[in-house]
Amino acid sequence: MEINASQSKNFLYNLLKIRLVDEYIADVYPTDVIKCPIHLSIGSEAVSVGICSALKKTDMVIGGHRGHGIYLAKGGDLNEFMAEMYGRETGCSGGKGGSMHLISLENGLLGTTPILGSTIPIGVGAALSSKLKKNGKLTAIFFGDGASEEGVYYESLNLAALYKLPVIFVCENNKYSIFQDLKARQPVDNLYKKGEAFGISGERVDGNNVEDVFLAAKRAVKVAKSGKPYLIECVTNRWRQHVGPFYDHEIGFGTKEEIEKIMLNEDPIANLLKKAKKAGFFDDKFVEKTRKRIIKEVTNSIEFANKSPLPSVEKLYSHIY
Amino acid sequence: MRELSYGEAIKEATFQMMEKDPSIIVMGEGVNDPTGMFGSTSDLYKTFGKERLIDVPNSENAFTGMAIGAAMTGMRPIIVHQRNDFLLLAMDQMASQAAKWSYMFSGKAHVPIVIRAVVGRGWGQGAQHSQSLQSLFMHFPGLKVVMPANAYDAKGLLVSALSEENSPIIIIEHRWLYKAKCDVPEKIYSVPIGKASIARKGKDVTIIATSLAVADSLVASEKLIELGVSAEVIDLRTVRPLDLDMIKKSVIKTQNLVIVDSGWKTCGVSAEVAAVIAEDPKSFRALKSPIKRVAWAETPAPTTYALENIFYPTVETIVSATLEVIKGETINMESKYEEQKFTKKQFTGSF
Repeated sequence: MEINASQSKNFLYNLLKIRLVDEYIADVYPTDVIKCPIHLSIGSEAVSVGICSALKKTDMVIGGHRGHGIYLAKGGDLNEFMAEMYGRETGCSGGKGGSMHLISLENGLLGTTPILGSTIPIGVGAALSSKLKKNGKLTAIFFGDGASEEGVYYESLNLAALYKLPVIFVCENNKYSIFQDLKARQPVDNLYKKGEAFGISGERVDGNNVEDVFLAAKRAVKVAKSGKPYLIECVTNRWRQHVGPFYDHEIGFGTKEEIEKIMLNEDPIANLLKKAKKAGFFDDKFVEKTRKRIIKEVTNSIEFANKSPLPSVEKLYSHIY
Repeated sequence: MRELSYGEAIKEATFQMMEKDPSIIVMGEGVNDPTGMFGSTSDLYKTFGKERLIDVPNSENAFTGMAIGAAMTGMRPIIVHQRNDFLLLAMDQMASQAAKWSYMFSGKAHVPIVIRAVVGRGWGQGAQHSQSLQSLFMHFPGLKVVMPANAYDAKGLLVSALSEENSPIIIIEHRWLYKAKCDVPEKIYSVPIGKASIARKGKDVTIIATSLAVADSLVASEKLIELGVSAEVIDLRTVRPLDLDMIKKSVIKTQNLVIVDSGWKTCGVSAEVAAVIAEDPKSFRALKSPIKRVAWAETPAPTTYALENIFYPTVETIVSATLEVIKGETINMESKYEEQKFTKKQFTGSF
């Protein structure tokens, strides 16, 4: 399968949108206008964009703490997203969730929550619903390499394979669980093979190459539709610290040179631009136009968030049974 | 009116609601085996098929999550555990996911799951097969915790959980009540969650009880009548949310309070009820004597019957605790082992 110009332009828009939104958040974060923990998607944008681009709007996704990319790539409303960061009533979770609890049901995002691995079985359950209702919807479950160490992941692989559920397991391998290297946590570097014992096929892709992720997701969609789960390991990077706006070297971990090398050679946006320009899909002018369009959207969302009211005090007791 | 046992009533409610609502599915380890969860799910798969009666692998954490995911996408799963103890393997899913999902997302999604878990007490089940974990779960806002004490309520509360509620609901059932019978209407009816009931009217003392302790308290109240004490027995039925109105009203009327729980005291149902009464000025001022709590010994459950018999409170413990509240003195009662548990006579192994 070949990538066409329209798909490539969509990749650009979504990658750049996640990058610019999260860069804005990182810039403004030290001023404390955003008062919740943030796990930025900068550097790993191609994972959510590649996967979500291969799904229908009605297909479902679920994820963990690093959810900005998933929310935006699945089509979540930017105004509601920004209002959520700002703790406003108009936020996608009414201000009660913040960065770690994002939802956009109309776009198929069931939710994101930060306990490692916890949403994996929930995604399997969503797929069970689809199977029982025969509605043809797929579910993509996003989790990190850290979550792959939770026992519930393996229980979930077993259930998904046993009940032949339309699930795509997406392991976003950024190689670190907070500061702990994958090598210090797992004896074998084989995240894409974790489903083999359950009869689940898997593949490893360059998670910094949106086209590769997209094509893998297309293969996964085909398999999942036939009633078999599929596993994709996307190898990528988080450019900023695990939680917060800074770079790791700024807080005493790793070196500036290391991250600069990654930013130079493994940038998902630069990777796309190189391919797209070579294929003649768009030029620098189009990139600039897209950037301006996104900046306008971000500016509008900040204005929306700032104008939105904080939840009234009685909201403390709403949405509880 | 015909009589049904507690187990039969649960099965009937499940059957009738599954017929009515195709979104109801049942999951559990052993739901389709010959004993069918002490009879409460036996043979249901023959009517509804194994797609809706899912005999799951031993993955409590993941299949609870799977039920939650199914619930938020339009299904109404019932999970069944033969022992409360296995709930602890699914703690993250119950306490951090199901309980909080609606709140975290401002009510945009709901998790209407029903989790049934049987207290496995008896025949040396020991420390890890006999726990009753209501107190643990009633701690969490977002969960409702129900403890039916008879067949009528077992059916009606399950119907409510499956048809009138959007929240996750945990139903703690007691194995010793499974064979206890009472009148149960054939039609579908509901018993509201969050409402206690007066199991016996009285005027001298209020005994607030849960689950099997209600049955024991009713036997105790008969003995108390012989001793000149009229006890009002309140069956909490739901421990979260507590029916504060009924509890307070009864305490204000009788001016004496004994709380009997099938669980531990510390941070338990009895602690919560006592705190509620102590915090309510009218109820507190109405009390003529200190509150007395009757609960399990503060140890894990021992296996040998020599210790198990003293680990659990008995009818005699309830009677003497009540007399202490009323008369202010400790009374030693001879233990009549054969009489102390009306249900025990009906309860045998094979476990």
